[in-house]
Amino acid sequence: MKIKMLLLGGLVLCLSACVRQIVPAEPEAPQDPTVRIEENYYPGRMTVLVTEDLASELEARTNDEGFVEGARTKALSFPFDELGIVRMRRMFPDAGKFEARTRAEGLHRFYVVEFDPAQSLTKAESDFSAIPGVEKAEPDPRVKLVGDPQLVAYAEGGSAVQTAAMPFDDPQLPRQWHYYNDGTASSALSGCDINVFPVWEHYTTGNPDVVVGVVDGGVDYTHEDLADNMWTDPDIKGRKVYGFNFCKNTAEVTADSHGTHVAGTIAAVNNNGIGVSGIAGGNKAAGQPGVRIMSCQIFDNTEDGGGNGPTAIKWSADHGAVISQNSWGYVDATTAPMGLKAAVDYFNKYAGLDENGNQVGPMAGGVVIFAAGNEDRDVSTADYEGMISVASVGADYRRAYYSCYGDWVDISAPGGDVKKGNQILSTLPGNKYGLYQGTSMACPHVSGVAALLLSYYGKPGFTGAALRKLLLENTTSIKSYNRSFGMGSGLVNAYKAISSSGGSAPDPVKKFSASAKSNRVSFSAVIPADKDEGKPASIVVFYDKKADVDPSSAMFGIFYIGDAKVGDTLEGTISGLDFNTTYYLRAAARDLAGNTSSLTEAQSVRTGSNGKPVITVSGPTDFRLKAHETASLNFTYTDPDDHYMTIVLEAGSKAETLDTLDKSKPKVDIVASLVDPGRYTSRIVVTDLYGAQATQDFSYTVLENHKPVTVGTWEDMMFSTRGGVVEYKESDYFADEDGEQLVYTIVNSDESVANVNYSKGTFYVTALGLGYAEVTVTATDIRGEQASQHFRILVRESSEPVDVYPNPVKDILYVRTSEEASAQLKLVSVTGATVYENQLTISPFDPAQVNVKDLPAGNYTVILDYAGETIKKSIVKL
Amino acid sequence: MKRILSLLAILTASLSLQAQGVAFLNINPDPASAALAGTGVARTADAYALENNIAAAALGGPTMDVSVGYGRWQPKAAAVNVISAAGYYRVTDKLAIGLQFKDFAYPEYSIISADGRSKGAFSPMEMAVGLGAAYQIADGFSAGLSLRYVSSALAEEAKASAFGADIALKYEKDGFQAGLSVNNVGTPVNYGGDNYAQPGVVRAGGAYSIAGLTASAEVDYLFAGALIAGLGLEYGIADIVFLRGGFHYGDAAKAIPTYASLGLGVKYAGVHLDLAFLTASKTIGNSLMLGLGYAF
Repeated sequence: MKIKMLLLGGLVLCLSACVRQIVPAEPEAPQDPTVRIEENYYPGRMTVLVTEDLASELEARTNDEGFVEGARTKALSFPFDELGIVRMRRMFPDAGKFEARTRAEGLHRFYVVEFDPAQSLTKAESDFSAIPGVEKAEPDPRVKLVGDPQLVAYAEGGSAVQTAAMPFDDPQLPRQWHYYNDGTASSALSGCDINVFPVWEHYTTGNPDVVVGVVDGGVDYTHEDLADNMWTDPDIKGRKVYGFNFCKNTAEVTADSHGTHVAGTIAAVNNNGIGVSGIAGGNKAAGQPGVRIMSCQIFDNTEDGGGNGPTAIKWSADHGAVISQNSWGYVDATTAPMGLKAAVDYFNKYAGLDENGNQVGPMAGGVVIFAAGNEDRDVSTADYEGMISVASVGADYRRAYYSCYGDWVDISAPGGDVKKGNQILSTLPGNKYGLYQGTSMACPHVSGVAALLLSYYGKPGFTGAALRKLLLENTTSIKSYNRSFGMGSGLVNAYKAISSSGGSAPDPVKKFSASAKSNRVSFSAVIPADKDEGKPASIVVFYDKKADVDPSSAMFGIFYIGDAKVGDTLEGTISGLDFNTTYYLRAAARDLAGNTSSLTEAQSVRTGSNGKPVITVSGPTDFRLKAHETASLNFTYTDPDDHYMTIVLEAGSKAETLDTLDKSKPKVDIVASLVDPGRYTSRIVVTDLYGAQATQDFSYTVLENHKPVTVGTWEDMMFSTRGGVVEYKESDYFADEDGEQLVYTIVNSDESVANVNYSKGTFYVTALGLGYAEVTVTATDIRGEQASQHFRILVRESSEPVDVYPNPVKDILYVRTSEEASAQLKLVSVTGATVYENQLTISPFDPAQVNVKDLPAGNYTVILDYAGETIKKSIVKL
Repeated sequence: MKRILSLLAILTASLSLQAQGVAFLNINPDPASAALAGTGVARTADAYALENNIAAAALGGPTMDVSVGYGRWQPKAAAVNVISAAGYYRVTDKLAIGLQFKDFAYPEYSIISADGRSKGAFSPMEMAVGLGAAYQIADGFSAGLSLRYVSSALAEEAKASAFGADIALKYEKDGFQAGLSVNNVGTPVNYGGDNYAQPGVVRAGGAYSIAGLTASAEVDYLFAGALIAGLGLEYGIADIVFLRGGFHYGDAAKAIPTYASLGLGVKYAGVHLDLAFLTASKTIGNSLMLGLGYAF
């Protein structure tokens, strides 16, 4: 039995803080679209469309940086001071040789005005609208990406790997079910893909003449699987420029996860033996470069970029892009802003043309492809008819739970559905790869297919309108799966859009039979012959609750024949059916050209009920832990029906972490130190896609902690040589009843005198230089309980029985002996006068002190009768 | 004269309130005086007249006397090497000039910082060079003045210099001599911090000679607040060999302490060799002074 595991830890960026449960971002509550939420707009910013006359006046005042110099120009009819305007500039800056067509389209009349951000936008909108010469004023909605960057996996896809022979050697291509879906991925239904394999095989893998402008976060142009397919600006000599950074207004693009993921779907390098495949990424082994990615950066990792999307789209048309890929939208706006519409119109009209209107690219005019949005609603800023708006499906033809929908949607594409365990695999910055879901991920599938079609069809006279028609009119209908939602004309279908029809249909399927288990139906069919191509490309199984199974309205799965031969038996599974329901199935053979054989007789099967998942624990479910200990609850979980499962830890305390990084060994880690002593009870809950649950309880007791204690007393130590090392056993000084490894902090008043450190049960004291050091060693247990030992270190010259210091001396003279002693101390001046004489008790750590402050300056002799001998030292008093 | 002395006393007393430095100035390198317990202020001039009493150079004694000396001072504590050179010349019957140089080289000491760290070593050095003149004011009575440059290096960063002066009077008649001087009055010594006064002293003494035997006595008052005294006895045999001895009294805590001295001098054809040896002191016992000179 195949076990589908939910990747939890692996799915999130922050590995150390493994989330306890996976909660895909729920759609936002529906809002009244007529109410504007000011925070969703850039404060102090307005887009205004001005008349030709006012535009001329403003342009006359425009400085070299592109800003209108107004405040000083009272003659200007624009009321700078009255409205608190800080600055204003053209939304679409002077385009040089393309300025004529820019003006022809009126793009020079769009201005971005920045004013006092404290002003209400509603008032500002009416104030601006009232200015003579302003045709329209529109607040500037904030922009956002429409992928879900919370849901990323860097290593594992979480779905089983397909086993079919792959056309390219990219090692992760078998996990890209969105290109070729044989039903193996989590909750997948065979055939829900973009049908690109036969295009690669028979038509094209891409062409570098096709430039796709990725308006998004910056693309990692150094990525091992992208670098070969990056566009570079031919107008900039001496260095490579991969696009433009509209956030920072520089040519330097900075790598962003979202933008890099999107770019990889379109043009990750194919057949290069590394990473993933891209839809139009060429064929490196065959020497065929793919389409090229132009990075038009309007987002960076920290900011929303400031909303330069229209500017970027227009710029990309002027720099050679013919397809504009846009996986972004506006946070609050419910329809496309006027600046965006103008930019889309411009791109559609002028992309691929030079300043004289001559076609220079593979296509005259362009296509602008937009993600529909992830708000699970029927309004979006991608609703403009000049765009191709893309909705998202999971691996089962069904609308992804987040995808926007509506009659303004043009087409659908795979975007992943994490609630069913499938996502889109593509490139991430730093030579990484990972999984995202979103209409952001669906959109580049359409852009990639568009680029692939254009690679094949591109020629003088081929138009953007023709490409749009090819894309939208050659889809796979998914209406039967999405009856309540407008998903456009259907699922993008690369092969259908490129292949010529014709030929004759294959023979009908022979020996078709079906059986059910839970809500899945398995079938087997004998592959018939095909007159034109020898064998069909796939067997389509139509199914319905109605006995007639009308192929025009029934649901279906497309099962690829692959390497199987005529007469072989093809087996497949249709999942995601209703439970305890009778279904009728009919099969037909279909060739690459789409010719479909007649249908078999209907087979009826009845699905079963949903089986609960099963949790199996290996080992104990009750633990006793000392405060410093950790324990793991090891378990496995399976679903008898192979349904996709989610797992939640209902933790009894914050000591627990659910760890499913290793899919074959999920576990709950319990770290006792994180909680107070006591008894805790917790539960693991596994829920399958259809709500059947299994639970597993477990308990643990965290015992009281014992403080570390000191053992014995650490004696002061004296070194008579630098470099000497003395070892002290930890167990002679500290103990902990819990037997835990204590953590030692060592505070040393003078690191230059001695080094004290701890390693594996031993303290090492190394004499480094002359002097005293006071050392406190503090043992800390896992709960922060402490015990301390204090000792002193003296390092002195080995040859000297007595140290007299400082020398020269001003105030206090210290006399230190190497052993504790009572000694006669005399201080003799140069005249022979004994200016000081005393019997003193002296020890290494308690030197004698002689106040010499009032003595005349000069040379003196210290005479010490000590340990049976007389020691003399010359000193100087200053 | 009294007024001058009282003025000087006031002046030097005010200086004496400060702590003193350059104590080496009061250590007499003259092997003849040293052998007589330092009782030099009333003696007939010898090469070290500048040290003993410059006024004496204008009265009796040879016309000129020069000497070089080496001493080893207080070897029981930390031996100081003393090198000296001195001499005077009576230019006319009444006027004499004198010179003296003495250098104290102290043992090297280890420089140790306040935290006990060794920072190298330094050898202190102190030096004084003086120039003096004496004039016979009346028959058997003379006065003298000497000026001195003093240099002291106690540490690399503690070096000082100063100027000082001595004033001396001498009277002699019929084998009786008396001397009085005020020494070491001058600018303070400063090593970069406090000012230290020079070790001022008032010396008074007398001597009486009969039949080759000279007895001398001296009492000194130190401005630092101590009194020292000495007695010396010299016996000359045929003006060739001189036997000397003396006893010095001093406060062991404040001044040159009590000691006894022995000495021997030999003079022939103007060349004289003198030796002094101090004993009976725990601190300056075994000190030695040696001199070789020439006089005519």
